[in-house]
Amino acid sequence: MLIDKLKILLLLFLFINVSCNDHEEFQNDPNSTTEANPGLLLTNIEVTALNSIDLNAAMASRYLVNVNLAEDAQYYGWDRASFGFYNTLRQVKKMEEEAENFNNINFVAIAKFFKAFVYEQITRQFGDIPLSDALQAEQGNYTPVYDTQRQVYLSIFELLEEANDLIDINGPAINGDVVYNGDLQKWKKLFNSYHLRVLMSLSKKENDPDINIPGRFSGIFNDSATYPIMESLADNAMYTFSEETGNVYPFWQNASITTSYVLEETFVERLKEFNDPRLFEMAAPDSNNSDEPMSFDSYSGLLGSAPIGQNVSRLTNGEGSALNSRYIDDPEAEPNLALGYPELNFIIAEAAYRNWIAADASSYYEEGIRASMNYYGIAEDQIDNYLQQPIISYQPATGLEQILKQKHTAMFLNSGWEPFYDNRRTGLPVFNVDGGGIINDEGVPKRWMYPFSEINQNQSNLEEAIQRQFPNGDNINAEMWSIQE
Amino acid sequence: MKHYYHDKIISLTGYFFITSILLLSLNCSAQANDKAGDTIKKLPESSFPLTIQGKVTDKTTGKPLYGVAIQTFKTNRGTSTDTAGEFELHLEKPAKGLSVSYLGYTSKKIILNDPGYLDIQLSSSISDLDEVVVTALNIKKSKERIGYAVQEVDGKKLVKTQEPNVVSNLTGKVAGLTVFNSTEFFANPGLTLRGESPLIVIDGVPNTSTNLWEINGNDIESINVLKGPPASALYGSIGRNGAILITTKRGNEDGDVQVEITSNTMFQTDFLRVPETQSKYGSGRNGVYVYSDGSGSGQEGSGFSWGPRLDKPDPTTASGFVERVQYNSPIDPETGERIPIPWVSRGKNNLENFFRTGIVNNNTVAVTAGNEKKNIRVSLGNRYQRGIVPNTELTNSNFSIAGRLKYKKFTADVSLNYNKQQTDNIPEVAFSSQSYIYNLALWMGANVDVRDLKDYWVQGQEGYQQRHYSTSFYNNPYFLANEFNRGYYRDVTYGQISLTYDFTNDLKLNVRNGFNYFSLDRNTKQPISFVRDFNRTQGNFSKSYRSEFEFNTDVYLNYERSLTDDINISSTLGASNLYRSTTASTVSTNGLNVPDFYNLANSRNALTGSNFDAESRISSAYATLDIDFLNSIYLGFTGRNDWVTTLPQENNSFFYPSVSLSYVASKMFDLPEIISNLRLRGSWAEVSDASYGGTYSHLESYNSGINWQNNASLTFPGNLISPNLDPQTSSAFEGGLVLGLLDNRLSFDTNFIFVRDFNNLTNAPISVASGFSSRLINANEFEKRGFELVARGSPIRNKDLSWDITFNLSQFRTYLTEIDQGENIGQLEEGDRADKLFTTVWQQTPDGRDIIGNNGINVRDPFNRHIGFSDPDWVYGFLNTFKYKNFDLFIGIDGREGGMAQSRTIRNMYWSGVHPETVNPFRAASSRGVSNYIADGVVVVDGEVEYDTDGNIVNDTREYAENTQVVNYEDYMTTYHSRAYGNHYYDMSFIKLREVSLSYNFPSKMLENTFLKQATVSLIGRNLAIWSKVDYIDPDSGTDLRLQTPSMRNFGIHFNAKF
Repeated sequence: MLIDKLKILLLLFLFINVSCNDHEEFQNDPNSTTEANPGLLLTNIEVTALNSIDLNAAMASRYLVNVNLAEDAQYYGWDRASFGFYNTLRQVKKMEEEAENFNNINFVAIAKFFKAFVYEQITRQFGDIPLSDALQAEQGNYTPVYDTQRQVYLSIFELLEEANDLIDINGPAINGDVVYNGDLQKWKKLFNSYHLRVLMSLSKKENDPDINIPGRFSGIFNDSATYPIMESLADNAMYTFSEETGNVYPFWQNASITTSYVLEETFVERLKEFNDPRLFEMAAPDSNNSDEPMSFDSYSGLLGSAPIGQNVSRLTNGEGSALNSRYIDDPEAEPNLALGYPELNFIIAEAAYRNWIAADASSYYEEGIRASMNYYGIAEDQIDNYLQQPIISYQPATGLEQILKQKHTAMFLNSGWEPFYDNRRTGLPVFNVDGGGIINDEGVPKRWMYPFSEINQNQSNLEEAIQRQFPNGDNINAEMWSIQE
Repeated sequence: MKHYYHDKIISLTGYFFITSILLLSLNCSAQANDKAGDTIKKLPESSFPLTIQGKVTDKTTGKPLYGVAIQTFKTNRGTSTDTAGEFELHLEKPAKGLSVSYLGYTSKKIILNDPGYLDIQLSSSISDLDEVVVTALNIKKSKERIGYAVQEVDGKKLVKTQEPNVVSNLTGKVAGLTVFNSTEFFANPGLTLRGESPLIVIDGVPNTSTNLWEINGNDIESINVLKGPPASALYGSIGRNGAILITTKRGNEDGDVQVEITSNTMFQTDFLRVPETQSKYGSGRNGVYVYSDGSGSGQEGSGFSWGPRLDKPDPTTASGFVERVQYNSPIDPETGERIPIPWVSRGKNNLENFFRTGIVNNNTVAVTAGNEKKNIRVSLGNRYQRGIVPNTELTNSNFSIAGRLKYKKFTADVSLNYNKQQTDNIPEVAFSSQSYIYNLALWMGANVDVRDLKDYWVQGQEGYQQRHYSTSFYNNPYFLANEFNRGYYRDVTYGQISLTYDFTNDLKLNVRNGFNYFSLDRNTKQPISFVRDFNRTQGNFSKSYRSEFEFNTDVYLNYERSLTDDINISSTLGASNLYRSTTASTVSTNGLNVPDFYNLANSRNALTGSNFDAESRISSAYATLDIDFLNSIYLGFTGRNDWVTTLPQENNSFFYPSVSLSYVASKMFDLPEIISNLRLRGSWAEVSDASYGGTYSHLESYNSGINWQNNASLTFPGNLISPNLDPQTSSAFEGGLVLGLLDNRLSFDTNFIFVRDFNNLTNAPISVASGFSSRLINANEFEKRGFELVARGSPIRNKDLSWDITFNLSQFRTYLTEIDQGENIGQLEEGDRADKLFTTVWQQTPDGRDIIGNNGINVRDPFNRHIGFSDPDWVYGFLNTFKYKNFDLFIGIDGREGGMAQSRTIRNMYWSGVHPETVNPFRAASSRGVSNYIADGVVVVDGEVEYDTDGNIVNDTREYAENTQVVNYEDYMTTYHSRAYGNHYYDMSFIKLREVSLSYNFPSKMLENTFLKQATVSLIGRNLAIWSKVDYIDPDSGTDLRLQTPSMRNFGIHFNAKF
């Protein structure tokens, strides 16, 4: 009897083993989707590509100094940068593909803008970069050839022209837009305003007849029907922060910001010299004067190029203004501004100064200041008082310096590395390098070395690009095409 | 030619598993034939009283053995052999059998079925001739028949000085097995077998989700390590990296009910390795410290210990020392100002004062009963650990039941285990403000006494603001211990049922179903004002849940047969199926409304969460064939085919062949007397797997991106998946020699390993400008070369005193032999060792001088340079067992030689200013504001250097002059030790006195009139001493990236009794 029961048990055991699912049923990943609409990709692209609050940029552009760590950005000791922006381009390419699947021309236009925007971020760091041959891994090209920087810029102009052509204000709506909430007219204005920024970034090439920077600039500026540009702060390319997880202002509750960073001395001194009320919004009084926040004398900075020990001892003596507490206490602090109406005014003012367009530099200069003050919520009468100061009023002889100083002020903790590249292009405002702590023998570096990943993964194309650009090899002091006279 | 015929006695090991396991030899067939006559009749009770006489000899040499213990099963009657090996035992009462045991020999049980003279032969346990080990699929084989490396660890060797996780007890005990013992509470010890992570198999059932916390060492009968692919090929893809087979205990078979109690308690009393910090200078920067509000900004110096000198006399103050305002200054009720207090070194012993004595306690009760036909074992175990960090406790409870039933041609073997691991708090180990070492040693100045921080709330702000000397960067360690808690609750159930049916003596069927299931509930409680990543948080609560289920089935048919007297064959045909599923989810609050109320409903903002599910299956069919010639040549073949779900379906089937040969030369030839055993073995296997990444990593899909103000988003991953993925394959060869000398009192077992890994499933990096940063493809080839030696010896073997030694030694190297995509993998080139380390370094001249920049500080090299290798050169263990009368002494020493790793602790000790070497005249000057440090090195006065893209110098016209630039010492140290890593990689070589246990076995005479049958008491010690090249940290864990917790010495007592 028992033996029979056991035999049955054995058979049952065998049956358990035979009943299994088909292998095909395991080929669906329940944790991630294979389908997307372009709007789902757009949100992430906007938040990453337009991220413009960058501590390294703030140190390299002489807004902030770090008193805890000898930072490469502050002491100009950097060497390489990464090609990480290409990861954003992958998202842009996917968005373009999905846009074509969804037959949404406006997403295609936005994708073209972001391609231009991101390629420019990359080329201005290094020089020649892969563009026409890039983003083709899916077609089997894993080692893209480098385009010359000149070709990269021509492609960027082309992309921006196409974007402006393609976008259809009355066409299909877009979703997932945390910058303009689907307002296509504002996107169109951004395309052209940004186009002007890129043209201005090539001011050293203004005499190159082939590329015709002044002509391109005036062509856009003078045809606002075809090429609308930003007209107010409401057109700013920016997104806002909130208290939601991961959506907070990057410095929120960050002890490292409060303890490590103070404002840079030359920047504070300029704001004090100009009686600039924006100082009170940007900074906190130094610890010697913490009870008098509304006096310019209560503010001081530490020198970006001084050895860290010197800055620390000045700090221990009570000098050095920290950032205004709203950057730390308020999760919304201020928006992430990638390209703003104030900056655009300074770009136009500079174009007028350079006679690329027939326009009044002074009025754009003043409008830029006014817009920036508005951005910080400065009262109108204070703005008027500020503008009436002789040191502020526009003088054609010192126009370029005035425009770039004001542009520099307006880009405090926004617009990413733009102030650094303005300085590279114009030398203005002057970044101090004589404090004794600078690591790079030649002062402010001109560029970044190409990333290790390209040495390892794309060496022959990289070597060709280095050889044709930099006879002395890949180094941070070499001048790339865009800044050669 | 020698012959080995069976006595009427049946060896304990040979008999124990006889019906459920394949036996492949003539010897075993003979056993089976014995058994065919059913069980051996025992002597009728009427035969007693009876005097039994007999002789015990060495099976190999025939020499008599002196001092062999002879005992009856139930009673404590016993005697021992005389110098002629003979004994006489008078039995008043009926007895069923005798157990015969002798150190260095395999014990035997003898059923008394004949009142005549007993001729007993014992086999040396250090010879591998009769040693039976468990191999893949739980098939037991005599070691001499095996053509690949297997090493067994007896369960008894694991129980005396028990570590919280039994893996740690394997350290040094198996050649080729490297255990990286963590100093952290409830952290998994790192375990690698020949450089890879092996499969764990418990009672024949693969368990791919175990971390071995669920196993109670007292339940382990033995552990067999199948070292390489040839040994584990029958497990298919999951067994590619070798396997560790754990066999749990079963009931006894002598018809008796036995209770066994084991109790083990160890105290972690003092530091073996701990960061020692200077106490001459306190918090601050540039010799200045002024407490303002604890935010760390300004004059406080944000936690650096570069402040003013401590313990400086000042006759003008009441205390006689310089006084300063500090965080714990009393407040003057009239002015509201803080009153200065002495600036003295209160914090000298902060680590000792904060950490407490840890306890590891393990109690197990096991009841066993049974006879040859049915037996059962039930055990209950509880392991308790009290961590050295306050408020850390772990309870790990086990319940297990196992038994075996034989009925006619059936054998059933069943085991079921339940385990519960629970702790309310696992301290976090990280280079950040969650770490105790970070808060206590690196950044707390010697002016702070940690004991003053025991009140960890600011008065009036309980629940909202912790009290600390600095509240922006650091956490009060007591606040951290009591309020920042990470709970971990894991329920594990696993078990198996194995049924065997013997159709005939030659043919049997085995069916085994086994399962492993765990559910894990974790939570993290972050109090309000907790500092994480330099952020003062709003409090948080997160809860995560994970469960994994694994069901494994094996069915096989075994046939064995003697073809002629000299040729036997045995063959197996089988199929198996492994199903795995995982489900996991996490939900977190976004800030807390009410302090100290840890519930998801208490979230300030919207909850965030995610979940994960996965299912996979491997179906397999396999066959084996073993052929024995002349009792000395053993040839084995195995083949297995797997069908997996984790690869594209076109390529999901793969086959693994293996072949092995064992040749016992000493049985075939008459060798010189000194050689008692000579055996050659060799094996080859090809094993594949598809275990790259996760279950679905071969499928392309979007990831979820950032959620920006309720706009969900997607991103496309940067890994381009090739549509034609194949499994990755290892082709493994190993060969070895086993040599036994002087009656096997000295033996060597060597093994050479050569493995070629090809078709590796690799995320091969590609130029990110192509749009993707890597491609998942089959690429690259690695070669692994290794050497293992197990040497055993018995220098002393007398009646009263014996000394047995085991020495394990291994080396394992991996070389990159072929790159398919591009010219490098990272900075590795073809032919390089795969463990080559590259990191940021300071620039040097071609003749090795440091290059100093014009700011007086070293210049960083723009290229990462090769600084050493991470793998150890040698891993070894030296195990000594001494026996003197009733005393046993075990001394285990092990270590590793070579291998480098970064020490974050030491690097940051220099940076923060607490390293004892930073106390010197330069610092004294620096703290007075004087810069007088001149870095040793040269400055470039002329010329330039040009590198090619790989960093090789192509043109160098540099001219140098001795550096004369004066720099502030503190500036120099903080910069030098924070901007490059090369100088903080240390040689991780060490030798450790791992384990000492001194045991006293109560003699049976002493226990005669008690209820006890057997009793042992031991004094034990673990982790007692270390010699290493690196200071302050314990290199045993092989890493110090996350600021390791101090390493502790363990002392305790072990007690074992049977009744």
